[in-house]
Amino acid sequence: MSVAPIAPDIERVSRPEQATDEVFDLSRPWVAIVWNDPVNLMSYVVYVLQKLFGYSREKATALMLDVHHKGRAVVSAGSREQMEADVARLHAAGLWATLRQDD
Amino acid sequence: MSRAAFRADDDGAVTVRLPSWLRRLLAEQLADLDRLLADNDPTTAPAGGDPAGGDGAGDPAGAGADPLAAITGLTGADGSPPEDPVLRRLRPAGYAEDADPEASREFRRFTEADLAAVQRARIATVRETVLAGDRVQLDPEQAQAWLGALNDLRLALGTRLGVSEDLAAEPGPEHPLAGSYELYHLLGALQHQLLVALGAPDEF
Repeated sequence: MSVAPIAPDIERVSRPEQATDEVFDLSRPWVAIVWNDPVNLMSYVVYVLQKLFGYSREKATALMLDVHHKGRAVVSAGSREQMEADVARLHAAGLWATLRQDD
Repeated sequence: MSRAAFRADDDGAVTVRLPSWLRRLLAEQLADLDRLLADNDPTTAPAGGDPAGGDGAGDPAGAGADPLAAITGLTGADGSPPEDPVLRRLRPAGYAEDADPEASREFRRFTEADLAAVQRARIATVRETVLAGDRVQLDPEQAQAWLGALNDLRLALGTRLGVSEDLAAEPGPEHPLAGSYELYHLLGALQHQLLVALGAPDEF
């Protein structure tokens, strides 16, 4: 059982400026995830992450170790289109990668 | 191999020196992999019954060219994942399959043809250069092609063998597949040497 909300004063309610989707996208970006696999060399994964994303050797190594020890790592974030492009580039380099919306 | 198979040169080039038996073996393995990719070319795969592409029925000018595909970059393939585990590894899903099968299909339809073309192009580069002599100089682009093709070869072989990170689980030297495991590890050593020649640290 709940109390009906008081009818708003239509004259004073302002219309939202934008569809909420854009705010939603900013707070929940899409991410590209690299998954651990038994074949790719650790040195190769570091090399690919540096080459594709311009990461420092330290950052690429830390991401590679995350993949190796935790099974996966988020390697990049952005719009859905950007992440689809990143995942396609990771696939071309032979890495096992997927994208999803961050939670 | 007592000396490094790959050596960095001054101008970003890499010199490769491999014994002839290994060069022939690499050429054969790459030819096999290329055949697998060619036999499963996403651009020639049968259309998946997409009604939006159905304008080809009875099309008098239909010489196999799909104007829609030419504009959108979409191929005739329906975006379903390949059955062969090697192809599934070389052309992975863009989305975790059970999470969003429809998005995965769309991703495949947009990316798979380009991916296959990249993979076949670098195999072609290695096949051309690997038999060119005992000692071949690769320009930076060719060196990248070697890096990618060696990796594809390891992915294919490793998937067929079902390798794990546990080396102790591998069969002994009497096993019928012992030679394939040996080749798999040799390819890994070669790839690592090439990475070092390309400037990667000699670690891991």
